[in-house]
Amino acid sequence: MKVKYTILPFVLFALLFSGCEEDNFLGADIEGIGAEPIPVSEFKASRESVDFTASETVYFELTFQQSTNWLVTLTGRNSGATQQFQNVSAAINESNSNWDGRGIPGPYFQKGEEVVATVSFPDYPEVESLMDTFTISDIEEASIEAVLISDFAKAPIYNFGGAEPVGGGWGSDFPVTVNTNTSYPLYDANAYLYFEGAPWQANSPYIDILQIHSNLADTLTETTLPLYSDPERVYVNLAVYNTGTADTWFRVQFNEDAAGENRNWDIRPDWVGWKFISIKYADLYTEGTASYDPTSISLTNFILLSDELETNPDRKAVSIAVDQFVISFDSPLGTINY
Amino acid sequence: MKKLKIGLGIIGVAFSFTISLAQSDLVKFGAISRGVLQESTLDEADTTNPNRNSGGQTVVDLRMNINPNRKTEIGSVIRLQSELGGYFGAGSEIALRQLYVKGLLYDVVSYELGDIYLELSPYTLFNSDGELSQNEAKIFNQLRTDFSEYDNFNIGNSWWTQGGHVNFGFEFDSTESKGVQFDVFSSRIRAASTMRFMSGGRVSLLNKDKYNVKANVVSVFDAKRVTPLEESVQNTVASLEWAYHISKTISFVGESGMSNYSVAAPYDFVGEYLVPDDRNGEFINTGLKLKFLDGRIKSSAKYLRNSANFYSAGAQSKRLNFMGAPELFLNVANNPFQNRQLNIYDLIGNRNIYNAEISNTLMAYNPLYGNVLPYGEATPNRTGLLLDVVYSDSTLLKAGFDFALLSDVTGVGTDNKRSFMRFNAFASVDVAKLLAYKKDFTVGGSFTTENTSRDGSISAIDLKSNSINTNLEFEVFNKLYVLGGIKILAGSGNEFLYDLSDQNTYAIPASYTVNVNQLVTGVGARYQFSEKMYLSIKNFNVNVEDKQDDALSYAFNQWMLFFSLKL
Repeated sequence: MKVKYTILPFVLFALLFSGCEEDNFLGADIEGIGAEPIPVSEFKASRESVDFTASETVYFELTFQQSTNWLVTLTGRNSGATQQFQNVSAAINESNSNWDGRGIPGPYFQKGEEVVATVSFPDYPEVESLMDTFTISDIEEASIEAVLISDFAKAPIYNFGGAEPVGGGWGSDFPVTVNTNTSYPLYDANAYLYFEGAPWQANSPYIDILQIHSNLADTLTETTLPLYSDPERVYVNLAVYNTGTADTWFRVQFNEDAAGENRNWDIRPDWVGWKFISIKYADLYTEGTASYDPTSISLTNFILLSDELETNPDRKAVSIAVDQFVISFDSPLGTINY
Repeated sequence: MKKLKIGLGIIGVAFSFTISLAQSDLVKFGAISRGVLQESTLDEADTTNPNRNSGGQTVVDLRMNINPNRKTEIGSVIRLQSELGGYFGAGSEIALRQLYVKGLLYDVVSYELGDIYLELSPYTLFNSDGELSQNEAKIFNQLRTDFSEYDNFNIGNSWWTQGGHVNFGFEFDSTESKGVQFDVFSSRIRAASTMRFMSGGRVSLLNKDKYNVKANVVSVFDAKRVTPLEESVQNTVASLEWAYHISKTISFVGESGMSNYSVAAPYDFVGEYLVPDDRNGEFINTGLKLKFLDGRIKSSAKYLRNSANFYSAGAQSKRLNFMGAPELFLNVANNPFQNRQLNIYDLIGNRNIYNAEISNTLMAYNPLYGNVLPYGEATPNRTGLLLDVVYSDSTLLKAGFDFALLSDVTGVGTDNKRSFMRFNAFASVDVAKLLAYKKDFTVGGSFTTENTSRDGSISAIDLKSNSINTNLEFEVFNKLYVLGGIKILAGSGNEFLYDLSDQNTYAIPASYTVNVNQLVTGVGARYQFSEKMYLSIKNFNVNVEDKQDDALSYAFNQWMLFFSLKL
């Protein structure tokens, strides 16, 4: 009897944590993956105007005949800021698309701007997207000023060996460099810039160089980037996806016309998936001696290299994806010590 | 001949080093030394990718312990490393690998500071074994432990951290409890990026004859506002462990507790991630432990229930990083752009995929190599029964089996729940004793089968895998052993894989299908100079047959000369 009495507290404690079962399953409805999207209602935002400073939110509504894979993308017409909701369900509603004004790291949504909401269907890219718009009547002012240089969706990329498109384009050495790859999860509303390849000559780490002249960046037309002159106040931010290839070395290189020198940001991803990383312009590596001048950047090179010369002479292929190339002022947008 | 000369050179260095060691009460030296040479060849069917790989290294981890007094020890390990092919100093490295101070205060409180190893319970702080590492042949296991695990600080089931640990206790003069012991620790567990810390402790109430009870708590948390827009994650787990000895043969054991996983918002509202709310989870793992035949048969039968939201960074971080890349022949099958998947030989000898860092999100895993409990017994979203029986006759035979019959607690991607079954049986026979052979002669083997299933249409799952291990260790002459081992893995079916790196959030899965046979054979010889020193030559043959697409099949072979010294 004494044994039973003593064991009682242990049994009671064990029962205490037997727990309850969750009501809903985790994640998206797998049964809807691959199912044809057949809308049976109109796609619309729940508000025509939303005031985030008054704790208002906006959500989206659309009903399907059956569960399907959908993607709602919000894009600020002025800012280029984006946010996305993706799920597999029979309806888009408040429970799976409620938005409180926050976006992915990058440029910020702005007060007074119109936001375009589109719903697309990743399993059926040929099905036409549906669209609605609404206005942000007020939103908390961003404490960080930022400029979207490129989200790498502005085609075309052309091979240096071929003809340059009318109006200019982004020249690349290697045909595998594309901004249409969707093998990895998207960081923002559209495809990322993807590099892949092996060093093309012995004893050289170089694989490919993609050049974006400042006047061909997404929303800019000047020949130099509109940045502060003080390199201590300028931060470079970039979303980088680690594809897992060993020895990957990626360089963002700013060409300053005034000094004729290059400032380099060397990135060796060792994380999982996407990471939004930042560096102060004054901390960029250079072999030059002239003072840094962010106002004279006329060209940005994105260079894929391989570290293999040090670790392995076999010239293995490496790859990387990047997105949301943003310059911010006085503060980084992402992780500095990545 | 060239290989042999280099190998002997490594031995010579080790011998001379050993002789020069000087010992005193104040300063003591020790060393772990290793020399590796390998030459690998990819099958001739691949005409596109590099098909030869050779390399090696000599490593000496010089251990120095300074005892300024009887109650204080300063310890350090300095690594001297030279890569094969690094002439005139290139590729050579000297690094401080470990540094700590430990001692005793007032003869009551023991402490350690610096690089320390920490371990609590399987649900709070525990470095679970890597996939397919159980019951494997000595020829594989020595490569895993002496090379891959050792280099990545994977010692036993503890995690390597940098911090401090204090331990003290009291003895009671009571009929019910004979003592209470306290452990408190705090450490930094990440070198770069976000400053991540881990703090916790344990209170143990001990009465050896009747029961022991341990209360554990561990919190893994990020320092806030290191950068403006980076989220900081906090994961706290508290548990109670108990063992109540009902009789000399039966004990009621278990562990139960709860977890909290929360993401703190960055200070800048605009541009902030959308993050899930705080999530609370709970678990229970309890049952009976039995002993029969004077302890020769040990068994346990337990009920396990881990809720879907049970998160424990210290116990769920994986020893193997399946996002890592193969080290040997990254590209195969005439495809220079697609990296190959990690095979079962990579899980043994690729030290680059061994993980020494606690992750605050659930790490990726490959269901082919373990889908039933990929995060050990702390795997979230599992409920069911665990059973194991082990017979151990110290003179002749060790054999047993374990069995797990589990299911999801909560459906994933559908209301239907997955069912999991795992059965593993093993045996090891001391043939030398059976045949009255005066030297060592051991053979052994194991068989493991896993099955995952779920009803449904698109969401249906049917994944099966079987693995076999065999081991041979035969002392032919005095101290000269012949080694042999086979690892076979055959798996087929489908699953759905989730990327949980975004705060353990389940989104849209990737469909995973597999139909593969893998065979690794290892043969070799080992000369055991002493208990702490050996030289071995090994040949590993790796065959991967992709039955979905034969063009992706490949094979490679590796010769390895391996010297190990532990002083």
